[in-house]
Amino acid sequence: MDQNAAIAVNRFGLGALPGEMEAAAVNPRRWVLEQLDGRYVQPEQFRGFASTAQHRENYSYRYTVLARDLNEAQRKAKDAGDQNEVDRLGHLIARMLGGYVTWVAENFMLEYGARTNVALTTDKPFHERLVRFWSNHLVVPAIKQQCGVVCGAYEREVIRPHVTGKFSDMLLASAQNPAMLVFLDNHLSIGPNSPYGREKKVGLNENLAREILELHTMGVEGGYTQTDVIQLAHAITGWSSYPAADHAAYQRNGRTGEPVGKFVFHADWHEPGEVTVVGKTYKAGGVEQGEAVLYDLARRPETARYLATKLARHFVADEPTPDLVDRLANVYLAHDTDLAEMTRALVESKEAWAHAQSKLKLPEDYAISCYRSLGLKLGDGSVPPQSMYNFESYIQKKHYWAWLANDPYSLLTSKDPAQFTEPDAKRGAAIATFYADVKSMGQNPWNAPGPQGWYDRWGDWSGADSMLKRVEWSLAVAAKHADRMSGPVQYLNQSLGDLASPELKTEVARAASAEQALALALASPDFQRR
Amino acid sequence: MTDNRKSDAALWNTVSSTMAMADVETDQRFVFIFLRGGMDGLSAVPAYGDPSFRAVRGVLADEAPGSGSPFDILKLNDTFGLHRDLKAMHGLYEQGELMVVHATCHDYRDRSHFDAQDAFDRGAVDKSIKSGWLNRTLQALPTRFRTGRSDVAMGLGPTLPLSLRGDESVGSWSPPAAPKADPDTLQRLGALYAADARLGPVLSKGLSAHQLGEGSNSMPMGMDGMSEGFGNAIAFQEYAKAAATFLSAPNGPRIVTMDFGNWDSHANQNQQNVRGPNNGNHGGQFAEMYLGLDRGIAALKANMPPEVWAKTAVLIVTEFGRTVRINGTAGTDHGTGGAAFVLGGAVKGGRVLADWPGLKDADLLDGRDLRPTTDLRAVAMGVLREHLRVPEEAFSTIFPSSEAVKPIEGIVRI
Repeated sequence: MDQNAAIAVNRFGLGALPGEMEAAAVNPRRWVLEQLDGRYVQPEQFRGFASTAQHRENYSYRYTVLARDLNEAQRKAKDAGDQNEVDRLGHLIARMLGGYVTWVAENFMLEYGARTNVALTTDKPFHERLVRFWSNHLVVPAIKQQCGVVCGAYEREVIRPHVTGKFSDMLLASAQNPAMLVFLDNHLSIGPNSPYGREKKVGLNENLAREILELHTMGVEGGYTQTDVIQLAHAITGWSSYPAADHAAYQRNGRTGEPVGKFVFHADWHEPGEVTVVGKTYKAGGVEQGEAVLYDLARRPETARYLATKLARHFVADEPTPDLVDRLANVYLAHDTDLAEMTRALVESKEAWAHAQSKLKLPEDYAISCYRSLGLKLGDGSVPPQSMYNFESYIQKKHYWAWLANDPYSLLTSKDPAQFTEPDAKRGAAIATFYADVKSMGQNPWNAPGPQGWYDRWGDWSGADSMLKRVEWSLAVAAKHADRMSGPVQYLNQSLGDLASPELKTEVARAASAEQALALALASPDFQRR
Repeated sequence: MTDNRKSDAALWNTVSSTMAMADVETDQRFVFIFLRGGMDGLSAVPAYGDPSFRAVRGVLADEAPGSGSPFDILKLNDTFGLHRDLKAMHGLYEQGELMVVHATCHDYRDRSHFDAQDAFDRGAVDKSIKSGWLNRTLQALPTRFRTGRSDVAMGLGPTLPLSLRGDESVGSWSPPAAPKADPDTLQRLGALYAADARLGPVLSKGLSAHQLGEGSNSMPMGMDGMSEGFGNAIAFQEYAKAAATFLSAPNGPRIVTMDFGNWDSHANQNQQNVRGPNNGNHGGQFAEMYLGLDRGIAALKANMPPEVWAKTAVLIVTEFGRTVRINGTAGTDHGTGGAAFVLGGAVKGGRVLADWPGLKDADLLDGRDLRPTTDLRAVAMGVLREHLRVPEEAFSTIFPSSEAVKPIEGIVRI
């Protein structure tokens, strides 16, 4: 066996599935590169999940339209002294919103389970690593309440289709996706001199513009100024998702076919006039003004270097050589922000195949690699179809169904409670347990601490407690799943191959039991690195 | 507010700067709490007595103390108050155990969360510095601090904050998740890790902290995926209890750090802090932030013997304050000057330290931010010097590029 095969499946992949090491050994470099080819097909596991637009519509509908109407009805009942009606409506509100919150948590776990199962079973693990890398770069984490429900949808709509496409397209898709607009508050950013801004005396929110410059494109050392932040914020005023400022119109018009929660450009929120961002002036206009700025930001040399550094840091070394960064940045610029070309250059570099095992796996990748080595996945069976609509089944039904049946805006395709299946509780527990385990190692999945995403250096992940949690967890996995291992030596060969140290080979061979052999392999330092 | 400045400045000057540093008790406890995300200082510590306060804060201005509304600010003095949900901290102020610092910031000015956090954690804006200020502080501590303990400092949380990283060995702890491992397997694993120069020392440290933390309650899970802010607030209280346990152990650490994230309030900030019938646990991600902080501080005190609390100083900082005026979405954007807290049984509290710059347009930094007039590093230095007996010559290492910054005197009871 060739050490390059082990590097291919560990450094570029998600850890070897049984049999994967042998497949990669034929030609490790080609095994990695071939995963960049061909049109991307969304994995089967994602069927049935809702889009960001549907989620946004559902959210705004419940929190603004329904909640407001019910609150108003409750106020009238109170004025009329009808305490029974006040109580009844109070229960209704609590159930509607409480039921939604419960459903959001359930949906999050189902999405997380589907995403994790893709990672656990895919035969294109390098592609999946790239999805996770770019998803962390243009991150929408669940730390904001409204974002937890759209983490999966955002990744499917913005990241997955573009990881081997152009970064400029991914950037624009991100900045015009309701999930990102809501996460970084641009959906309510209004030009102070726009017709709406002047009338309502409302104004700008610079959050998304700042993070686009600081985190998505040029990087904090890219040389932009506070003025550039404000100018970019002006350029993207009116980029929003649902007519939040006009609930009355929403209610009047109801649903017109397309989900109301999709991206919308409010021309009357847009700051009039030209903008100048990083030295270039863009003439006054509508949505195309901000689009032009973003396309130019994607093509800037500072952006190329910033992205190349992050990519090389993720796959090769905490501190990649300037030479490697330059090469990747040049390829990116020469190919008009093409990420497949930049990624190919990375895989073809000699640096990527040198210094094996010099990166520490992030906790989630570590847990996934352990499961992959044993051919494990989370629960069985498919995601309940149309999971978006399942939430009604979590609500105590008596009053609610009677009321929903008369609800003209209901998102339900059917109003018969019997149509809705509860997700399999055992499967849900498998997902939630895996999630909680990864969280205990210090990486709360889809909950990066902020728009900077997860950091990617050794020191960010090598805390003593985090390492102990990894070890404790892997010992528990070994205790449960030792029977999945054909034989300790063979297992070690097909998971770590030539990256297993002589010490580990000796310890595994002389282990007191199959369980202990697996425990030592999974918990070993060799398995923590890639 | 010059009144404040004078009264407090007078206090500082009464403290002798020539205390005998060598022969004092050195069994002090220090807790460093980082509120990540940029806590809005004018929301936590409203300057309700400033004539411009109501105008600049708009819908975010709570009611003055004593006005009888449910949104009354808790009075500190005629200028400043505390947010209404910081009731336990207000109690500490009244007992003389909490000092508020306002219009404060460190020397970072560019309004990036991540750079600002890293800059304070490093103790310097200079990115070529790789270690944290608390880690370098450990090197300057009196030897009595170190004797008889495996770790003099410990990071509470699943990952180690940058402030504690560096050459000095430190511990870390988070609640146990898995059942205890088989000792024989652990021993064999120990041999494997001993051969790994980078991961070996890390694991053995994790194991020893684990033994020390036994008996601490396991933590309730946050409401993952829907409201991590609320989860943070619950987790913070649990970590605060664990901190009390660790600091009270005879051979436990004497310095602990805790992180409390999610203070970035760009939109609908008021809603975040209001708890009405419809804003209980679904009123925005920050609905419980102040309550979480307040209860965490209360738990820290409640879970310590009084004699340990008497030796404890807690420094609470954030990476920057927020814009003085509210933005277009009833929130505030990244700013500069903000509020910090020093509290504990060892702290000479009941005071507000603020050289108040004012809230009029001309007073603001870059026309938008509260102008910082007190260097946060001077506060940290003051605590290190008086409380932990860190010699002044160590400050050039702990906070590089701080030649012009002098430790503030008289923060702790000597």
